[in-house]
Amino acid sequence: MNWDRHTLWNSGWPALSAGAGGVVLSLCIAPGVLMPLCVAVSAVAGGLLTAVWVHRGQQEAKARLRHPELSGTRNSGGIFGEVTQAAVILLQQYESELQRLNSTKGELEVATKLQKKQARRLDAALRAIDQPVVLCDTRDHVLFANAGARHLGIAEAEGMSPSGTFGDLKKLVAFQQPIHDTRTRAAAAPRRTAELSFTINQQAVPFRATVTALFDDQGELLGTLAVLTDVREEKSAKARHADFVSSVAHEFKTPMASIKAFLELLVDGDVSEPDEQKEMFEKIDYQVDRLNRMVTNLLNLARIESGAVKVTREDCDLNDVVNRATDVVKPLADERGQQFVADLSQLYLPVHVDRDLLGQAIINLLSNAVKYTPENGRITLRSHMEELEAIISVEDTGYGIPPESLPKIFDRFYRVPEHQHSAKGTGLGLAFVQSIVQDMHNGHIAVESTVGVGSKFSMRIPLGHHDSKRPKKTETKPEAKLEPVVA
Amino acid sequence: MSYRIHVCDDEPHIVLAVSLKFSKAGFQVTTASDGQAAWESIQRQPPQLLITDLQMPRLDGLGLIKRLRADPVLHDLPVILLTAKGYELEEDEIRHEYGVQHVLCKPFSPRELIALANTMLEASAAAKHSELASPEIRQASGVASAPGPTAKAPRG
Repeated sequence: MNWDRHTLWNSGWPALSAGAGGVVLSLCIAPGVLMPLCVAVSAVAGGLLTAVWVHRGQQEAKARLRHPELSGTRNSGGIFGEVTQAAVILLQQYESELQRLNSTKGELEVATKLQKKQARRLDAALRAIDQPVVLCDTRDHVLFANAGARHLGIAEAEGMSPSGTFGDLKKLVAFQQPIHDTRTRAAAAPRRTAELSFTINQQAVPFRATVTALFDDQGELLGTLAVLTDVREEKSAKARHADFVSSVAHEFKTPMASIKAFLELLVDGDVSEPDEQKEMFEKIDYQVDRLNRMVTNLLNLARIESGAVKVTREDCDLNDVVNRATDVVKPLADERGQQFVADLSQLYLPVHVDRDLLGQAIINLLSNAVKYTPENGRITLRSHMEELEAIISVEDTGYGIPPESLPKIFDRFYRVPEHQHSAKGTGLGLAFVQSIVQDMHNGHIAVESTVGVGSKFSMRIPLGHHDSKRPKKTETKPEAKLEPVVA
Repeated sequence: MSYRIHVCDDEPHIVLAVSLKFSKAGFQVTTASDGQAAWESIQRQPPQLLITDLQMPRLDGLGLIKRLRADPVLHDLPVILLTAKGYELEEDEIRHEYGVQHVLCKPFSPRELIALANTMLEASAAAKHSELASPEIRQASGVASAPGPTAKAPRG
């Protein structure tokens, strides 16, 4: 160490001189046989003195480093005092600087690690999003495309594109346009949407692209982020809604047409006889009732589907519910000369249901069977237990449902065209049944039918009383507290 | 001579109202509750005008008209189509493909219906009695062979 060398010069000089002096003295006083001995003794003595001196110097050096305030007390007026002092100060400064740098380095290492982790997390987050996501730079080059985007053929590879190439995006002019527009007109509108179509499995699939311009804290444009949403379901829901509205309009217009026609005949004097007039008023009254029934049914259905109907579930025997429904419908079957067979389970079928609503669903099934079965036909009502479910089935020897109508049979307002002349109906009865069984009782309704042979509707209701099972969703819904629907 | 019309609808009240209106006006009226029954009746007793509903069991209105247009005797029977269908109905397509000149939407006015029927029957009669019937007359009568550009149909 430099410090030690300074000390050597400063403090060891007299000791070295003593050792050398001893050797010279020996050479002078005993040049004979004793001379080598004297030389050796003097050398050893000098060496010992030197060692002691060096050790002491090191001790002093350490002491000065630990206690710099003492460094001036010795050799303060010496040749090397000032040099030593300057060196000590310099060393202290270096050491302090080193400590600061080490601390900064540690902080930077931690920050870098956090940044890298954050980048990995963001990267993983973008990859985890099911929706296709595409990140572009300020030249509309794809920087990142997740798996969803790659699936659409937007970029050749998932993740960051090292070459910053545009990938297949160039082929997708329709997709390129909103990205370009958002970037170039970001000041006017930082977010734009566009409807696009991509081909998936040789099928055109509609997507909505939402492109957002990305800015940093200083407002500098960094690029654009495009998120694509598959709008198939949305479009299909809109189409279903349009169909529903169309059906409602159609069903309402039919009685309205009768009412308008009859009223006009009365106004124009086409019906002059009092009896005929009375008959016409009665028909108008009938059609008004029909309209009112349709409105009520529609509202009931809307309430059930939105969960606004109060569902009062209780533990009971399903056969009780079935028997009550039978009491309502059996007279109708008798009237039509139909054979009504009730083949109910002898076992207690424990269920936790709303007796009125489920009873209504069974009535609907039975009355449909009566309506669409010719006179002298047979209607069979069965109940039995199967694993964890109670099953109620209504089987008839009626007209049967054509295969093309089966998938639509539970749709609101759907009526089998071939059956429309057989009986009156609003096309809402089975929609009710489905809502009551599936939405409110976690059950299942299914149908099988053969034209000319008959139909069989099977309703499955989970078995078990409330005490032995978890509360169902319908009981916890706040909507269930609303007023019950008017039947 | 009184005209014979055929009224076909699965709504009995509509059939009743239309029949009543035309009977009172001196028409002979035959009726049916579906396309198949109408087709059988029309073949037995051909009318001068058919007023039919669109949606019916067994055979719908368009199915019935298709059969008429393919028939050598009945192919030029004028038709008024009644429908409760709303915006989804392609009226132009019905007019051009089926030669239906007039589509009336329910609820309709029986008064307007009979006025329209009279106009069509007169035009049809004029076309039949004139050896040099002009395309305009044939078109106004709703004859399938000359669909051409359509006149504005009255809407109920």
